[in-house]
Amino acid sequence: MPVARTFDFALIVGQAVGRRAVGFLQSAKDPSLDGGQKFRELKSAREREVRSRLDYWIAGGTNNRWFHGWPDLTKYKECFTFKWKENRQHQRLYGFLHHPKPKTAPRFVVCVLVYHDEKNEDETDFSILDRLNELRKDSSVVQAINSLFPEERSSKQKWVQ
Amino acid sequence: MGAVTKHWTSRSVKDFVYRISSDFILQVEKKMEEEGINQKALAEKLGVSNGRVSQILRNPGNLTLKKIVDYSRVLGMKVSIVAYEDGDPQNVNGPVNAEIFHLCWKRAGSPRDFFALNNFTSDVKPLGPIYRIYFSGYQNRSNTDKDWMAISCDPNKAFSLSTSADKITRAIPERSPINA
Repeated sequence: MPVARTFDFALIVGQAVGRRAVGFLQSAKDPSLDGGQKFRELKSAREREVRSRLDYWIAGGTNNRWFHGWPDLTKYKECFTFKWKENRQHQRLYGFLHHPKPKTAPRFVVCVLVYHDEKNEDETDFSILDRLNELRKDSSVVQAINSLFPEERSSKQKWVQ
Repeated sequence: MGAVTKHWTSRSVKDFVYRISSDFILQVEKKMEEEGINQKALAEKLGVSNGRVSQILRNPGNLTLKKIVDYSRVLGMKVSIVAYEDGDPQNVNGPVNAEIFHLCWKRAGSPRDFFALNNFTSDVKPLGPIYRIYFSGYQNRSNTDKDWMAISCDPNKAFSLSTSADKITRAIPERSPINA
C-alpha cells in the first residue's frame, strides 16, 4: 500500500506578494518534489538571476525566455515554468498556477513551483506536466496552498448567520 | 500569510544592484530583438569581444554606469537615473521595474521637458489602453430604447474620434463586461 503523501507549501522568502506570488510545494515523503531544494542550493549569482525572473513575473511582465506557460494547450494551461541556464545546461522550475482566493481575490494567482529539471532539447517533457496536473487536482495539495491564503470575510458576511 | 519579509534586494547593495542591472539588460535585450541585432553585432558596435557582451548579458551584476551608457547609446537609446519614493521604505516589495517608468513616460506623451509635462497633465488624464467608449445622446439614431452606444476599441492602436453624439460618457480602460 503506497504511503500517503502530505504536502507543505511556503512562499519564497524575500519575494514580494502583490497580484501574484511564488512558492514551493514540498513533501517530506516525496523527494521528487525537488524545486525548493534546487532553489536553496543555487549559488549567489544564479540565485539573483532566478529571483530577478521571479520578480518580473510577479510584477506582471512577460518574457518567454525567462518563463512561460502553455496557454494554448487546454490540458496544460495551468502549468508554468521558470527558465535559466547554468553551466551551458538549460534549467527549469516547473509548477502550476493556482487561484487560492476565488471569492475575495479572484485575480490573485500563485505560482506553485514543484519540480526542477535539466534539459538540452527544446521539446517539453509532457510527463512532468502530467504529474503537475495530478498534483494540482489533489485535494491535500489544494488545502496546503489555500491554508496560506484564507478568504477574508467582509464585515457584512461576518454578522449575517 | 505569515510575517512580512523584506525583499531579497534588501540583503545587500550587491543584490539591489543586480536586480536593477537585470532590469536594464532586459531593456537592452528587448531593443536588440526589436532591431534584429544579435549579440555579435552588438559586440562589434561596442568594439568589444562577443564573449564580453555575453558575460554582461548573463551576469549584469558588474555593470558600471559607463557601460550602461555605452550599451544604450549604441542601441540608439538614452538612460536616466531615477530616484523615487514608492511608500515602501523597508523595501518589502523590491524596486519598481525600469520598464514601468519607461512605459509611464511614454504614456505621458514622452515629455522632453517640464513644459511638455505640465501641458500634458493639465489637458489629458492618462487612462491606459482603452477597450470601449460609451456615447450618450444616441437614442434618436438607434433602434433600441437605450440612449447610449458602446464602441469597442483595439487597445493597442491609437485612434481619433469624431462624433455628433452629445458627449462621451465613459472610457473603459479595462476589459470588463458591458453592463446594459
